[in-house]
Amino acid sequence: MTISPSLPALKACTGMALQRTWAYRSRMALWILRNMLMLFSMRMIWTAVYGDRTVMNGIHLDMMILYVTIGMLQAYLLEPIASGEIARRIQRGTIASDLVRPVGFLPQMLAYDIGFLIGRIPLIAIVLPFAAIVGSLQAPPTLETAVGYAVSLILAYVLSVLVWLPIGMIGFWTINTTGINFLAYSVLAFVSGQMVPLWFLPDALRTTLRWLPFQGMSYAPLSIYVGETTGYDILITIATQAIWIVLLAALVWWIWQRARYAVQIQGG
Amino acid sequence: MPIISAHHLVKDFVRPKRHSGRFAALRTLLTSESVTTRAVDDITLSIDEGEIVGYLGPNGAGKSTTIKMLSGILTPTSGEVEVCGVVPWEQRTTNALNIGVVFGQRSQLWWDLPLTESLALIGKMYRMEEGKYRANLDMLVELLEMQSFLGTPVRQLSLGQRMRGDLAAAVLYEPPVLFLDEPTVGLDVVAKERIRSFIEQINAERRTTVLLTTHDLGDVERLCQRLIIIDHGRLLFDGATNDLKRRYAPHRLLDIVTAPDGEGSLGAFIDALPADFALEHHDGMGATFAVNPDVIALPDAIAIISSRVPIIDLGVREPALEGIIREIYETREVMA
Repeated sequence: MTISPSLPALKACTGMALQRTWAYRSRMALWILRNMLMLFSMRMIWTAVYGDRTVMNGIHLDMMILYVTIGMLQAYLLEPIASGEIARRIQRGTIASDLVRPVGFLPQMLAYDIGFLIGRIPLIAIVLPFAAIVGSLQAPPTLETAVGYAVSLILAYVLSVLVWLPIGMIGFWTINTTGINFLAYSVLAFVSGQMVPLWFLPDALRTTLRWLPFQGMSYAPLSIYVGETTGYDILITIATQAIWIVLLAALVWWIWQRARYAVQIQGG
Repeated sequence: MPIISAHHLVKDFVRPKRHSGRFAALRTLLTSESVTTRAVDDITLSIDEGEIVGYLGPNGAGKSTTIKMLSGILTPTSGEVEVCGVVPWEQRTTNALNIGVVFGQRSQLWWDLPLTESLALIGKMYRMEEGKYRANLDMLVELLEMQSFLGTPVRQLSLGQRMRGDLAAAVLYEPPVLFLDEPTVGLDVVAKERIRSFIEQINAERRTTVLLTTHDLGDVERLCQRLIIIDHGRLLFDGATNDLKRRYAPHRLLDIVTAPDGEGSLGAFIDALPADFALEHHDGMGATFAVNPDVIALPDAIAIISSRVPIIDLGVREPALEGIIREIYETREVMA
């Protein structure tokens, strides 16, 4: 497959997805409201957990609230839609049309995903002031942290897409992925460190999770942002993310080669 | 050189065996048994450039599966296919640029965006130059009368409008081959006519080759000189529509109405019906006879009737394709 003649097409797909973000404004508003409520309850929970203490495991309560706040914003920004999109298209049978395009199916889906990502950036700007009030916001302390966070965030996005794609592609065999999706969503929220930072977990679990790809989806950039990962450790964190990206990309490609021969269009 | 050719095409679907009864879902999940269904069974066909071919068969006959293999979505279990000199599932991109596909049951348009946006994206995907895109779009908007709903989100379009949008999307980039899977399903008579005359026009102007599946024999009578009929994945008939009619129903139908005082003579004529006539229908002053033009020339047949019965109205009909197709579907074979 040659990528170059497909580029304008992919750009158009991205643009299309960008427009679709704005076609669902009311859903967005509800999403924001829900997450503000969640953020508020997270803040209450952590404040209660800390009780009279201001520091636990060497982590200050302020830092914890910042972690939760940035974590929520990040999760909103990075949520990959490609996998859900694949599942929907398989179920509706419209995937037949996607497969007769002169542009590869996976590149199409990635282009949509990027469109949705770009479409959500302005919404983050709208959410920021609320997040600052309900949670807590502050800029990264040093330039090193800021740059490290930015790089790690981009890699976290790529990782999220790569982890979620195979989950969506399971639909090529099972047709329905609602159950798997729900399970994956819950498990990933935990193992990615989005729900509870890895530093609060027991040693064995923490060490295991640290070397798995999932922490790279959320915990890696967050721990850099709040200043838990610093200096040389930032490079190790980023390198771990990068290695997993290469491995998962190979896995996704391998699964896709099988999936496209397993295609059984629903109905008709 | 045929533009579409398939040789001994076979497609098996393998599904895990479904259990029933206690713990059915769990047993289905853990089972290693599988059920193989042969959806397409040894189909060989060849279609030349510029033909409009009707691809018929009862529900579940394997029509859509064939189309999905010809368009590169499904990989066949065995057999060979070439469309415009390309093996569809191997050179997907090249093949995609050569073909237009409409699945009548589901839209290829983007549900939540205005129709124009979908068409613009198609233009980009199929690498159309801006000038060409504009010219083709203008032409299609006029031909398919889409001006009034170009800016409407696809989910709000009526079925007829949506189908026109889907057809426009499929022919926008001028593919030499068009696969239409039930393009008139669910449409009213006016909408059907619009789609049919559009297909006719595209075929006449661009020499676009069209393979059309449908359950509406009006589509076939109107558009297809050639028919391919399959059932249970096997080829039943491949040939000229007229040839099929000649085999099945070589006769013509004569409808007559007698003058008010002719009821008696019509009754007498029917009671002593000449050997070359067959009575199809009799109702007071009206009757329908079947005659075979190979046995008796139509003017002679008419002369015989009118010499014995005072006729005030007369009509000659070809038997409808529908009856023939029904008979084929019911008997599952085609007369030699």
